[in-house]
Amino acid sequence: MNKWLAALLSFGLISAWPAAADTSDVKTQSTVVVGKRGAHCVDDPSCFNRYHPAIKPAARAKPGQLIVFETRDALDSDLNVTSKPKDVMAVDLNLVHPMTGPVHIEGAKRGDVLAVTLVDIAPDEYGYTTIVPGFGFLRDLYTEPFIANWQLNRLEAVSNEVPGVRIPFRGFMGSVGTLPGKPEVDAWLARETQLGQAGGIALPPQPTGALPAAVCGPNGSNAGECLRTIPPRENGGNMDIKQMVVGTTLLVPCFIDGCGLFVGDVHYAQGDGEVAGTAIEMGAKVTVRTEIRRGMASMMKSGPHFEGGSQLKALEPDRFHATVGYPLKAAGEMPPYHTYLDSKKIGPLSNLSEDLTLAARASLIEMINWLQKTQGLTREQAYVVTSVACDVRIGNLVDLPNYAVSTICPLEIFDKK
Amino acid sequence: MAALLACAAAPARPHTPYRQWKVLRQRFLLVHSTRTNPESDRIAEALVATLQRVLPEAQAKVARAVHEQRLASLLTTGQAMLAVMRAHEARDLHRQAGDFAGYQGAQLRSLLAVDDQLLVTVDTFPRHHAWLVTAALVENPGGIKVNLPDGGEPPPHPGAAAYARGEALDAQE
Repeated sequence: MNKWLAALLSFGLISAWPAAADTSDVKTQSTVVVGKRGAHCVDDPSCFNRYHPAIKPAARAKPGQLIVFETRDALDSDLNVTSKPKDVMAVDLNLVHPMTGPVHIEGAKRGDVLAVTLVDIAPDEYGYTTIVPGFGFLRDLYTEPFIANWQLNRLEAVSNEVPGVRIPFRGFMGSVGTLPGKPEVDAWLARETQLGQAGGIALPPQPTGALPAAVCGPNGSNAGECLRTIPPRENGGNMDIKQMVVGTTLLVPCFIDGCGLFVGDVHYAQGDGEVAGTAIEMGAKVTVRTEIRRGMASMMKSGPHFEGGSQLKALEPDRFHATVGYPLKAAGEMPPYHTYLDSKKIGPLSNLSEDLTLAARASLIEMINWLQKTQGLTREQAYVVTSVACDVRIGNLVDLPNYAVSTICPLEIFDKK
Repeated sequence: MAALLACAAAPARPHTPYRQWKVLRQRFLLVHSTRTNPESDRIAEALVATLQRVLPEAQAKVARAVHEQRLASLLTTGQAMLAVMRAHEARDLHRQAGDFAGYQGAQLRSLLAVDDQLLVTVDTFPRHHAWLVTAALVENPGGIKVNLPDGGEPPPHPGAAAYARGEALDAQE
């Protein structure tokens, strides 16, 4: 080494080692990316919108690896910041919900439980909340279409259609789950068919718009068996549970070897109830990590479980106003949820027995009225606010006949006037 | 016209599998257009303006789909009853040809022609409703020129054809 080079090295002015960049180049974890391709689910081999065990994996991952799912909005829509109510009226329900995946988890078997820890959600810049007539908890009362277009970042969402309101980022996976096995498909189709025949709301397989087309489309191998993604079931799916935030772990049974993990329908924020029918709907990049819990599926009969730490505390409001409702109604009124029962008893009554749905309705309507009077919102804006930020919660399931339900709204979401 | 209004009070009842959408479809007579065909949106807005004036109980509204394939999906799966389409696209959809090969387009029917566009429906649209809509738009054209279907493809809806033959509304029940 010549004396000049030795001097430069001794002063740290040059390095004897290859140049290293900053910490961004230092990798410590293995990541599988299930990327998004094309404008819509139909353009994307990693996207599907029906459930069936014949759907082939889009990727494989080992337990412990990070998996990044690039997801689409719930409606696989073309909505944007300029969208109007007339665009909402032409939403195609055949396309609901586009899911990213499925991912084959190596080593997982039918009968295991897949523990899915949500590591991160990176939101898109745009989201929407819609009121679609015929949809949502108060569908008999809200018969005009409405759309709130939200501008999103990791701090808050704001919308020109709901001025004076700032919704904090509380992202979660509206839909996450595993593919059903053939026994589950058969059983679930049978019970939903029976419900539909009894007049209940149950959606039969719909091959038009179904993806993957090779399995679920009009000429697909299993066109008559592909389950719709709208109802959540024992495999998870469209649960829309706002508490499943970053840091929590979902425990979901595996019904097929490899589980067939999927993610979609990410919500930027939602109140307990998602009462208007939509939350703040968006696409996102979702990062999860999985772990296999052997043979635990037998402990899960009613549906998935989930667990966590202090995450629930962070969801609670700083200040709030709450309303309480009981299963009361006007004599002669038939709530929309009860019509399929064809009951001659319900109509004339002004008080139903042990009816949570009616109690929730009363509590929610009371809150919407309160928001209109105290916050200066229109009835549509108030309905949207309850859907994205207010929590409909059970108070009691014992005080006969009047089970109590409360609707709790945070007050810090409103700009100070 | 009183008879028109009385019958329009019971808007179209679709055969949609989406039972929650019954409220929407029962409440509004939706005339669909597409973003990719701005002329269809202009025509739909004009037709709806007429229907709102002449058949207010029908509560007509425009619903704008993103493109023609989406519209085909809506029409052929019980999610849409009325739409404005380019005539050649309506023909292709009826034939299940070209971009519309995957859709059950044989159920498509025509009500009216407006320039090179058609107001189309499906064969499950009730006959007396088709008669009412056709009559309302032909007799109250507003700012656009509407024509009865010429018997081409897709075939005229029986209700529109009955109006064209001069049959009375009562005969359509």
